[in-house]
Amino acid sequence: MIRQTHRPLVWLILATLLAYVSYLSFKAYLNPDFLIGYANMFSC
Amino acid sequence: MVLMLSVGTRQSFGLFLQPMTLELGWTRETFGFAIALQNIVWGLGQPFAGAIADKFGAARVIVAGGIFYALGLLMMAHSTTGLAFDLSAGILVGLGLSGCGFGVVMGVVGRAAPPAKRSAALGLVGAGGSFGQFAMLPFGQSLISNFGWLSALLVLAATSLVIIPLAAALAGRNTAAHAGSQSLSAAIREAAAHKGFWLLTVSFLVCGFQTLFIMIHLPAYLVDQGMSPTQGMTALALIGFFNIVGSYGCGLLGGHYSKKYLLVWLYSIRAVAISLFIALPLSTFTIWGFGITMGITWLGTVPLTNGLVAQIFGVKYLSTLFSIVFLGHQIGSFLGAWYGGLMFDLTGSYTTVWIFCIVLSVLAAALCVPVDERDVTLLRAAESKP
Repeated sequence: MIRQTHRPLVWLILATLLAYVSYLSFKAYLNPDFLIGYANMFSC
Repeated sequence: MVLMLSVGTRQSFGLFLQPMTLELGWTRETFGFAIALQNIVWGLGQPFAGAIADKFGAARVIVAGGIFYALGLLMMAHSTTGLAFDLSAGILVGLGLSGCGFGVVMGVVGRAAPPAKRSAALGLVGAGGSFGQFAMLPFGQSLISNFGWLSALLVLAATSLVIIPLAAALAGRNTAAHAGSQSLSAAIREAAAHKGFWLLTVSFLVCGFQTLFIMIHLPAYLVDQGMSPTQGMTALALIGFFNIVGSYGCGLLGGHYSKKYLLVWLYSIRAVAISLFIALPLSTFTIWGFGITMGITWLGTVPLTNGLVAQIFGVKYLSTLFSIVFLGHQIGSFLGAWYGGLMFDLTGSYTTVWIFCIVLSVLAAALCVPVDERDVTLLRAAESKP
């Protein structure tokens, strides 16, 4: 179990990681390869 | 994290359409049939997976789901015929998704969390799945671009194996399975006789219809209207990102306010957002506004609908009952993707489908109002007292 005192640190690390991956994902959505790949995809 | 991997990875399958069909000489129909089969197997298999999870514990079901999922991805990479692809991408991955998709995972969390915190916990799980959908799509494309489709599938297969140790951590926590004397068939009969169960299923079908229609046809719609493909992708990225916020936010709100009225608000906001989107002249501002609003309301329906099923019918058979409701979502998803394309082919525009989406939103909001949110177990107990 995570100690009570370490919890804010764990949440901070997770939030930073989430923000970084979100930034990379946002950038990747606008990548030309992705635009072409998405134009050719379909799912349901 | 299980949902992040299972639902997220699945989101990227469409990206394999072009490279696989080109290299293996398949038609798009070959690929499309396997993906359609996967959705049917997922939708139909989930109530059974949910029932097994409710009866014998979710950990084993999720482990089995993870194995099917990884095996399916591995076989997808080595499929050279349409039949092999149907078996791998269609049946194995479909079974994998049944085992480690929304129904089973949310059932575990719904049971483990105390009633006061259940909605927020479900929202957090929904946010995990939403984050997977948001991040795994460009991750899949990046793998294909850098290593080719075959290696990309092998990497995804290896990644999905992480589901197995994650599921093992859930072992032995299904304490609700032995609570009460109601059998599974009696619980299903009770739910089937409850008007609210079907109202929730139909409103969830509307959710599936709208989300898949927008996901698949929005970029094409924006390009048809003279906007750039980049703006279409920006809208999808905004939907994906704000879906994370919306899933958790709706879960949190569900712990404090009536879930059915939150659903009414959610579908009503969608109706207004779609109306404004098609009525106002398109601009970066309207596209961003639409993306953010739809993102916030995107899968916020999942913790609220799941929370309502738990609140009304209890958590003992939550995986089974929510999986049946989720089947409605899957049928809606299939119809949204198909009807959008069909109407475009018939009329040359998406206007009819957008209007249909508004009508459906209003209908879904109206359907949620009469849902009786009271706990049936308490009602049953009150009725049995002399």
